[in-house]
Amino acid sequence: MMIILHSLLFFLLFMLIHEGGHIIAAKMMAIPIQKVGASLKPYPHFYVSVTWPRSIIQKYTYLFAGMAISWLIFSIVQINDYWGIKSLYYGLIIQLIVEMNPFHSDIIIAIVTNRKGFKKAGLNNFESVYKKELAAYHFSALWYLHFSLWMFVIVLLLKMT
Amino acid sequence: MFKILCHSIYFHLINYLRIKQAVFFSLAFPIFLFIVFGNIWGLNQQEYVASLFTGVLGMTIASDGLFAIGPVIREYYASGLIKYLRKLPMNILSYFIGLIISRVISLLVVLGLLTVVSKLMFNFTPPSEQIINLIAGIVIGLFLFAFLGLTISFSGIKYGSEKGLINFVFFGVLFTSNCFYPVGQFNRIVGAIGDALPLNPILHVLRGEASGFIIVLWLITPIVLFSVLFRRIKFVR
Repeated sequence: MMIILHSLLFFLLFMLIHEGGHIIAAKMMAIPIQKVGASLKPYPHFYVSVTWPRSIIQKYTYLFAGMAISWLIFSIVQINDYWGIKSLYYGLIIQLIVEMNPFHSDIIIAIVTNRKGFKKAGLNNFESVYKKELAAYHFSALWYLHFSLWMFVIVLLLKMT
Repeated sequence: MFKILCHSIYFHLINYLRIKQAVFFSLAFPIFLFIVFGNIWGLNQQEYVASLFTGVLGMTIASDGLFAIGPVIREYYASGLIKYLRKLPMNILSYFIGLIISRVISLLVVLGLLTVVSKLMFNFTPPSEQIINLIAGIVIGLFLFAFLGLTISFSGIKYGSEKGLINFVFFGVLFTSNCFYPVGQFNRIVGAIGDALPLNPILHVLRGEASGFIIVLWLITPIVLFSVLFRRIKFVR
């Protein structure tokens, strides 16, 4: 029971660190932060809302900063072989699995905002265009590729035990 | 008659393949769960892989039966499409039999995919004598869960709310069942609840075990309830 609680606490910590990565990237690139909050939909998560970056480099740096921090932690844990701490292992792999998921993640935002329809619409009606493009992307061939890679990563992470 | 039935099956299969979400949840998602759970607990444990194989198939049967038949037929009635179907130059029964056979075909495809993945990843294939059990489980399970889905869909609850109720029933049945692990070993009460619900008896059929009288009860009750509800229901549009 305690291992579940500790794993959840580590997961919560890694979620916060992940959002910290977005905040640091936004601050470094002078992107105005609009809101830092939590949402229950489509699953409970924290988020950082910013004025949408105009340049592509800024956009991708901002979007992938959170994931980069998580993988940095993963590398530190791997190099120092901290995997003996089971709760740390579970917390970290849950975080990595969640942040790479093909349903709602930074990768999805990066892919969807790179679609032709989104680029064509510009930043007008951001939310409705995003929803439309997201619906078109879900269950497409590229999405299945993402899903397969995600499944592969899950299996690799689980095999680390 | 046979030609019409074949066309009806083909129509339903095409219809199903065009709904990307349905294809994902009935074909790709079970395979995904099989690979993930198999890698967590099934490596070098053929017994668990064998149990998971039938567990994932059982879960897909329950999901297909509950979501792909009952709510669809209710939708036909609620939208008035049933009147249009009655005017078609074919027996409406052929249309619905086509729907059910198309679901059986989809489940047989899942069975085939599971067998291939199981062989490639875990070097496990179900023994040939189990094939009959698997097919019988698919047919009986689909029949049982389809009538359960129909009963819930036609229970007179507010249109649109039945999906929430079906979700509740599906997850309730799934999490108390022995699909992914023997629940009864962790908690006897939950295990007993699972045994009283319809999924565990279907798993027994798929695994070639004795399923007892409870399966007969679950096969009869939804049909009786559905026939009572169907006579009483009135659709106001």
